[in-house]
Amino acid sequence: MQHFNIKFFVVLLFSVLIITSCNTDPAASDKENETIENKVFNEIDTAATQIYKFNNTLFSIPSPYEISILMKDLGIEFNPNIINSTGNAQLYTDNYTKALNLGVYGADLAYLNMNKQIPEAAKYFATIKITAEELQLSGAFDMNTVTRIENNLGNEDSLLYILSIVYRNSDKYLKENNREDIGVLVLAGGWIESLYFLAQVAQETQNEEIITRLGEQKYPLENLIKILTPFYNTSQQYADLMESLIDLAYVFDGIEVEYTYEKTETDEANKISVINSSSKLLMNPEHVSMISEKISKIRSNITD
Amino acid sequence: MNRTLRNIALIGLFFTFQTFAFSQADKTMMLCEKHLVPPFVSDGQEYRALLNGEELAEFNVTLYGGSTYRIIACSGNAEGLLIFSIYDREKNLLFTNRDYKNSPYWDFKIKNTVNLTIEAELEQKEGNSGFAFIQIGFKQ
Repeated sequence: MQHFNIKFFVVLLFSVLIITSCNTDPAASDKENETIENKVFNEIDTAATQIYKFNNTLFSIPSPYEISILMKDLGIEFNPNIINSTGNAQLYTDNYTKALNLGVYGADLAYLNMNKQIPEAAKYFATIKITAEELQLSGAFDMNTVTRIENNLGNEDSLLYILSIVYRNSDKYLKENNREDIGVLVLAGGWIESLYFLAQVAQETQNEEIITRLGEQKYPLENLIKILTPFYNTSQQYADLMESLIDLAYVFDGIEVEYTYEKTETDEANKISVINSSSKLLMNPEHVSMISEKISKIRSNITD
Repeated sequence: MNRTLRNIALIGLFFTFQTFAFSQADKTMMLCEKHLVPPFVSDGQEYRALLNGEELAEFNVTLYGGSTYRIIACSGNAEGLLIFSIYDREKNLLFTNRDYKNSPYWDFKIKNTVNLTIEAELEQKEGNSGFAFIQIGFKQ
């Protein structure tokens, strides 16, 4: 009986290995795959719920690149003083600060790239690569990607495209390897740096469009807090970061939003729809200065 | 001894299943990625949720006014297996790919910044389960 059981499990294990390793025609093996898929998903669902879903609700944070593109489109002059110095990288000795600053440096690199600051961009790319390696994220920076980035420093469109893939691969890698606690920090660092840029420029220029963009961060901030919530008890550092973001959210709560629904227009032939609905933000100068003050403090706690 | 071997076999099975699941997920991701090409740039995040039967996944997004985005939805090993619908904050339906043969991607020109909810569900619900992938790209 004992031999039967051992044989049974060994045969079963090898059968599954053979089924999963043979890369046959997908259509022909659909039926078998479906059964296995169901079992697999049931296993994963119970074993790794946190990896893939948070009550089946996912939250998006706008890319830091979008903010840099926006500032460039508005003709905002490049300010080398608002980015985090690469010299500070030596201060980041634990994974928490490394991950946050990986996000910060990513936003900085996007800003430098958009403003054609090529030698500086190369320096920031080198720092990002080292930080990613220290976080054991070198998979996202394989030799091919490194070469592509080095060859495209100066070609803002290509670099933006490649970097967005690098950050997406890092996000994917961290989610698949139970390291979402690190992934959320990279995301948070990038968003905090972008908000810091917006706040600094809004204060300096009083540009209406920048001020509106600053106010529009109300919803991404809510999303970021929801993303961080499951990690609140990970350490005191996570708890402090969340509390500072919640404090910032109180200021954003004071900004009223008037939403107007308008019918969407769709061009089926070109697969494009125009979302005509609009939101109007009711902000005052006090909101701008309070946001600026609070985000500067949060950012300083991360970078200094 | 018997129990130990059984546990080893079960652990082996679990990791084999898990590797298989990730490989299936990667194949689905590739279906999505072929639509995320220049001039669209990824927002740097990967959104995935595991759905069973009639379950819905919700993706909360903020899209900036003046920008054009591409939303790509994939599941399983073929296109058109994931239905995605976009709602505004008042739950008005703004778009659903169900009206367009479950098109795997659609572009959206945003006039004013909006906070939206994307709901994703499997096309074939009965006895089915699978990953729902959403990717968001913005136009350079």
